[in-house]
Amino acid sequence: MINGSEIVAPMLVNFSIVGFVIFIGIAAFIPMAYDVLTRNETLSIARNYPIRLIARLSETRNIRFLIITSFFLLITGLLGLLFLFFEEDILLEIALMLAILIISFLLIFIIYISVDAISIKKAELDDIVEYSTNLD
Amino acid sequence: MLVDNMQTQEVRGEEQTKEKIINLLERSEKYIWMSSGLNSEFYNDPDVKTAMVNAFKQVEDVRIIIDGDYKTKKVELRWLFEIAQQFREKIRIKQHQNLLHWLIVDGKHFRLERPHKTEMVGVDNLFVIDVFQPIVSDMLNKKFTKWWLKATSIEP
Repeated sequence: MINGSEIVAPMLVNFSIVGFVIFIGIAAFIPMAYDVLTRNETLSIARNYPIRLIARLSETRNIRFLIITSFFLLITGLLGLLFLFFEEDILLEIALMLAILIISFLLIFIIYISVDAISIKKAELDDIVEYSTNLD
Repeated sequence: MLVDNMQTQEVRGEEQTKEKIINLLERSEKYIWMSSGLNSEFYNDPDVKTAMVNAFKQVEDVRIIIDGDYKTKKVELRWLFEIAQQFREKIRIKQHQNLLHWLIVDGKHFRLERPHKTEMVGVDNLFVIDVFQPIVSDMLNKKFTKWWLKATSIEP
């Protein structure tokens, strides 16, 4: 048995369950929140960074990424749980590797999305706002 | 992507507008949505007509909202209604009043126009290529969809 596995395994299960709930929740509610936030707004709302971030997160490919990640978290949790029952080291090793991989991917994803949403050409956006709001 | 490559260009004058509209149509891959007064002189131009027909053939969805009276347009732009009849499943034409004249290509390339008197073309246009932030294209698409839902269907 791996040293300290009796502490690591329950921690891993908890971390996975909490992560699964958070990311599946984000994937489910962000598109709805985005729709509500932009429903009666004009294009000038695009000047706000948080709205651009939510819009970016609501893209289909990003929602898909969050759903896949949350399912991998679920698998990690299940592997941790199985280790607690059967005490097979390989189960915990796979679960730990998956957890490290998921955290790495999530970090890259969060940085990518946050930086992506910063970039906006203000003068160009002003032109578009001006041309698109004449009949509002 | 990380770098915003969006380009905007203000264009005035019929010839320049024609060139830019053709350029936008050539970029189409998925869908074309347009709201227009359909000036017969402009849209009967062989270059514009060819670009539109080619673009309509290569995309999956075409939505056209005619601003104002459509009956005269049905006579003046017979070719447009004929092609709409030919590709009935993907080309839909509706009619509405008081809307801005836009051309939306694949939700990322746009032609936006300032309101002007009827029978005028290329008064004040803004061409937007490669919209980077999804919020910008979403808001413009939403506005067009609002007009589309309010508009009345026309049998081609």
